[in-house]
Amino acid sequence: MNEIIIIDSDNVRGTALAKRCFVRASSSVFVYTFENVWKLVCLKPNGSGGTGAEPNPDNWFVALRHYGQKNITKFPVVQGGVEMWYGGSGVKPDEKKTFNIQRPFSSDEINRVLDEDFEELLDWAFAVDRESRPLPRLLAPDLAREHSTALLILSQGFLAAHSDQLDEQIGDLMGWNDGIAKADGGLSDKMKEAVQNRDWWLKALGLPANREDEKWTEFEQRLRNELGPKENEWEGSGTKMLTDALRGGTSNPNFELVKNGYLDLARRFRPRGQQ
Amino acid sequence: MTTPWPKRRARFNHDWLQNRFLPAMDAAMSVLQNKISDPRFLENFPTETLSTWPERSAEARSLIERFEEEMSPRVLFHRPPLSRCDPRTLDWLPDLVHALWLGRYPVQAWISEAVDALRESEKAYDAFRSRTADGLRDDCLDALVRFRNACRDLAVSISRLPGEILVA
Repeated sequence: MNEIIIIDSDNVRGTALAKRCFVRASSSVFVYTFENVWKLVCLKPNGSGGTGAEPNPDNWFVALRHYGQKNITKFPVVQGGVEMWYGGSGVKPDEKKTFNIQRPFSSDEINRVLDEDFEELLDWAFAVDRESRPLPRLLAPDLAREHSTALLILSQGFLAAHSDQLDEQIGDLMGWNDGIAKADGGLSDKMKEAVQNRDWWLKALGLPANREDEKWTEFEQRLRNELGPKENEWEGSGTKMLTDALRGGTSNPNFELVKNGYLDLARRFRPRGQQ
Repeated sequence: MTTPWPKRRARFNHDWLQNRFLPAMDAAMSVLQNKISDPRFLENFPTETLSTWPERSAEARSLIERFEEEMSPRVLFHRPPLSRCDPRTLDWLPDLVHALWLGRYPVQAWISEAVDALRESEKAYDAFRSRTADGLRDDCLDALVRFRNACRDLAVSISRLPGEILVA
């Protein structure tokens, strides 16, 4: 019951999606696609595969289907399986199905999705207790990354204000360059004091100074939902340490703490292939 | 309220250019190459399909021109939580975040490439139209192929513009 089928007339997009599915599929992924004629292509993680595959039709447990191919009734999923729908321009309100990939799924966009998001999607799709689990990020419309984005951007501001301490790795990752440094015009000196103050962060994040306030628990929960790290990845992560420092309030954020928080956040945000 | 840029891009590039206009041009090519016989299609092609290009071309231009403004992480300061930054911070952080984005990604190159592809499409369209003044005939095929290829390159270059705000 590990087979995945993708039904998409666009061979390039279907293949791009199939390759991303190897993050979970151990055996092979099938793509029913159009290249002059409709054909079933079998793809294997090692790059081998080809047409003429003879899959066991009882095995279709997970199907990813392009909205344009809604009239193709071949390859139904087995009882208990799941069909997820996608479109190059995202969810189409008039074609919405039970489970819809929320992001536009062109082949370029498919390549930008994080491995962990695909892993989460397929783990959910193959789970026996799927119905009792929360929707994965790719299917849930309300899991935007607004809190983690704000934290990351504030970290960029902090690090830029400490440009004299930036090493090459972090500078390159942020996009810092000589042009920005010249245009800075001494900005970092003026801003250094402001960004080192905990209140600068709390005001932008909409958080109270009181660490016991419920807003902090909610913020951390939202942050974890947005970033989706597993329990053992969250504890000890740069993001968690930065958040703890902001919440604790025992000292103002320092360069190393923010740098590590930024590196952790940036790793989770960077498009695939640019990490 | 303006439709978000990714949605506008999807409507133009995916829904119209890739799934309607290019397939219609492919069909016209098949008819001109005598692979399919459909004289009615050829008759309607200039009015039903080709005539939509000038307006769509303007839409493509606006889409490309608006990319930097609408897809820069600077726009995140227009709404919470970042809009809550104090006024002094709003004086420098949005511009810095924009400059860092330009430093991380070849945004200007992406835009130039798309502008060039659009210009080529417009030139190829004009050349094709000048050949079709007396109707679509076999000798229009080369010009049609050039226009189709230019539109395909345009689709690729517009697809290359990221559909999400890249903050890292």
